[in-house]
Amino acid sequence: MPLLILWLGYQEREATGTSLAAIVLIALFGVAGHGAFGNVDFAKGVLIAVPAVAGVVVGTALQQRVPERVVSAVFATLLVLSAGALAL
Amino acid sequence: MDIAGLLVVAFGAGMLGGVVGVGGGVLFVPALVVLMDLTQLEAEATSLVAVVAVGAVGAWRQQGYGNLRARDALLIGLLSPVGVAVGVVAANEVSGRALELLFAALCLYFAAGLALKALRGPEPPSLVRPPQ
Repeated sequence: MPLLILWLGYQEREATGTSLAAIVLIALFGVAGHGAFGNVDFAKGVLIAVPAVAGVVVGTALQQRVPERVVSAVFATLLVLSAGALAL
Repeated sequence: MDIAGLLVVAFGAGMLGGVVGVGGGVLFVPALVVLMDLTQLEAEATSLVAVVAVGAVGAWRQQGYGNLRARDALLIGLLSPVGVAVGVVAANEVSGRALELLFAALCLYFAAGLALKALRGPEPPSLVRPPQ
């Protein structure tokens, strides 16, 4: 998502929509690989997928109602937290 | 096992995914480890099932709002195994700690770029789109 915005000149909402679509393919590769090794608990995966899908519907609707730079700011915060978790 | 807690965290992860365009794994994985007693590996693998669902429904919703460039997404998705292969080679060549610090630095670099963009001032009206 930052790559799309900072290097390819996407607007924030377009970057998130495109990123979500790309994630489907990336995660499918991951599920196939991990599934082959028997690491995927599909029942628990579905258990978290159902509320998560409800969440993403609410999240995308909410995103349309905030300025795009708020989306950038939230993502920047997430990145700083991730950097902290990695460095510690 | 804490099913109620898991459902709440999963909803929050999906919502975060919708707002910033991530799959939610950053929250799914610790929730599965702490609340469902999965190992780190099982949690990462299992979280991907929900990531697929969040990505698919999120992209579908964003398409409805006019925020999806499907061809670019397809290209990025299909190129991702190349990135994974490079990452695997790098992980075997460089120490884990060095990779963590490198990735942390990358996160801060992108965070700074996004923060500067957010601070740069009022955005142009984005609701009116030129025909594509």
